[in-house]
Amino acid sequence: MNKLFTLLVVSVLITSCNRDKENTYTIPETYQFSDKMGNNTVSFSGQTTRFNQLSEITTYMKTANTPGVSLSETQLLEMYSNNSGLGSTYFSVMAGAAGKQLREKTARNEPLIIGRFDERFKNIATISATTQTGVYGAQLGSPGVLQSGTSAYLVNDKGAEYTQLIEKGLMGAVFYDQIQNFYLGADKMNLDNSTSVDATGGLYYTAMEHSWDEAFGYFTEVIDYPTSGTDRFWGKYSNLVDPILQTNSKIMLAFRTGRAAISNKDYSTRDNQINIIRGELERVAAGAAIHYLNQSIIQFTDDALRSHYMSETAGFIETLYFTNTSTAIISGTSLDNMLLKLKDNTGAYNFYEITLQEIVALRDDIATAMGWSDIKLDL
Amino acid sequence: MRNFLIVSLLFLSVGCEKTKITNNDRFASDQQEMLTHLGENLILPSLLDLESKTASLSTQANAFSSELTIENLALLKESWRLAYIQWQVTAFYQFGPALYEGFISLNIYPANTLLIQDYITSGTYDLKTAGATLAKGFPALDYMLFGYSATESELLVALSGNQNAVDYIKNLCANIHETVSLVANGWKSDQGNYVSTFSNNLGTSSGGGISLMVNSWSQYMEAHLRNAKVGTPNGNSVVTSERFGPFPEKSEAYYNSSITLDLLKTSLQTLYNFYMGIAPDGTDGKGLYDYLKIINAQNGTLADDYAARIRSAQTETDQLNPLFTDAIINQGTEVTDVFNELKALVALLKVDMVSALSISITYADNDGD
Repeated sequence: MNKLFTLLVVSVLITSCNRDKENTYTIPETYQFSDKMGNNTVSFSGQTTRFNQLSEITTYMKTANTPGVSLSETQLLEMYSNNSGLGSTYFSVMAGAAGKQLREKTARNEPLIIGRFDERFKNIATISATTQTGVYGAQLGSPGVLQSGTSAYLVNDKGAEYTQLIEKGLMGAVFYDQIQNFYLGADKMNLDNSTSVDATGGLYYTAMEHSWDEAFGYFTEVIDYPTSGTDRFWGKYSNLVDPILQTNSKIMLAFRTGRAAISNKDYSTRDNQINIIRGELERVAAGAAIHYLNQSIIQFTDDALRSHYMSETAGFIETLYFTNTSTAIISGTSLDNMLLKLKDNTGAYNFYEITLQEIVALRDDIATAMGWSDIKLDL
Repeated sequence: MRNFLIVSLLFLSVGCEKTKITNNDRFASDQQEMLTHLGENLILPSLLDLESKTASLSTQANAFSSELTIENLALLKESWRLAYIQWQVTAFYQFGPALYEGFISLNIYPANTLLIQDYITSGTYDLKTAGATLAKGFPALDYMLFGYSATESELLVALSGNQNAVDYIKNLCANIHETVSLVANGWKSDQGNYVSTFSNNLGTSSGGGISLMVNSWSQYMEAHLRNAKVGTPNGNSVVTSERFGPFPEKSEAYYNSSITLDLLKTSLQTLYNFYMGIAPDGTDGKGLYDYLKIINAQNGTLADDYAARIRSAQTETDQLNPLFTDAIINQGTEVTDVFNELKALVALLKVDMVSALSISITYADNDGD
């Protein structure tokens, strides 16, 4: 009954923007909102800056996929914290703005998780220094670059690709976590929603509206997604699974509806949208994990591709730990068990000692948990 | 209200996908007929044949390991050859049970002989792990039986003093047979019954029967038939066909090169039979050739064009010297001709046929990550 009711409400919202009987406000077709005076109230530039930081870090890490190119640990760690928030000259002007950094936003500044990424940055620098020009010599026990066709990936001695573990990992520990647990969380959704933060300074949004925008900005940097914005991070992976899971429109509609609801102080509608966004993002991460597991199954005998896809998978599974516990379908304990299949007895990811049966079982575990047994092959 | 919702949803979906639904409906029975014929009359019988040949292989390996004689070695080599040839007949079907049991990992070459020697020395290895791919299957046996020692009598001497190496041969054969049995069992109607799952998996979604089959076929054509069997040992660039080779040591069955060309010819004949829908017992039923005719692909020309292309690849292959390593060294141009035919077959398959069948290639994830 609850489900049916939700369906009805959503359909009313979709089909009747102008003659809605329950709500007296409209849901715009793009993420564009203004106050009664016509001033734009949407702002999420800080999130876009962090997108640019992660893109530039990733681009730098990938240079080491060419054997003989080594990475600087100092540079990587400086980029991770944007020089402790002071601004790093390793970034372009699009990414290096002072005050914005990925490190302190990692898992809401949780030292244990930050330590994990510090370690990965150090490790990728270390192994990159061991490669020699023209030599594609990685194997179990020896780090290096693996090659398949025109693709090449720097991996550690157990086949794990730090570039993917870092990029997908931070998509989870920063972008996804900030949406799931910070900006859509109770604290941020209890902020003031009656006065502009600083109208004279041009900040026409309320504190609550701004929190919502910041959550949105960690999903996509464009207001017309998915018309554009399908090229990186969650906008890209939602688009990857969208043909099967239809996440693009669900996520966008929920963000637009929730934002309009906040501006009209309709908090029950807002809370429904929070649940939708959290749930759909979990489906994107789980769907992407299944996609890369399917690819790993198909490319099982290709060391380079298997390592690459398994590393992406690991990043998406790590992401699922950050789903808000109030809506999470896959619990942390289940995730612990799933990750065991990717690890050897030292607790490290090992993509040489893994068996095909373990990969298939992991794919099926996620599909069963999500209720996707009938569509797992399509992802 | 509920009815109204359902009615409007129906209306919406009909409005958007009218053509697609009609097409699927129109050809559903043809699809089912084709998938049933291929599953019941081509794939399953080929796998059963292979299963019995790998059972002999495993039996011969046990006999050989308990009595290291020239006679037992000859029997083991012959059972390896027969199973290897039959593997080619089943190799196009790398989907369903084959995908999940790692069927393709039985024939990835060249074998990593250093890894094999490490495994033999340490005696600790798990042939099911990803890292063991280049130390198992038919190529590893090729090395153990034909490349481990220079002559048969030297091999017997070497093995008689090395129980780990004898066990390795036995384990390789057992692993081959176990993997093949798991795949065959997955298809059997009284076990996994994938034969029924497959024939009822209609439609053109990426999890549908046609898409799974054509994707696995295309991937096999590209990576294994075109590249591994021909292009890689001959040293052809995939893009320009320019030669940077030859690399005889990268060819299939390198240590017993007298059978390499047989493996290639078997593969091409299998391709033809599979495409036409000709069963091992000679029954000519509905194959992709017939299905392409039914859906009138490229105004009816694609079906015959593709069949003609396979025939020219076979004709070019017939020009090669019987010893494949000799062919790539002395007939590089002729081998390149074969490679070019295979390239054309891949292009027709990946572009024209895939589009005519309304499916897409799913095995190449080109997200640029």
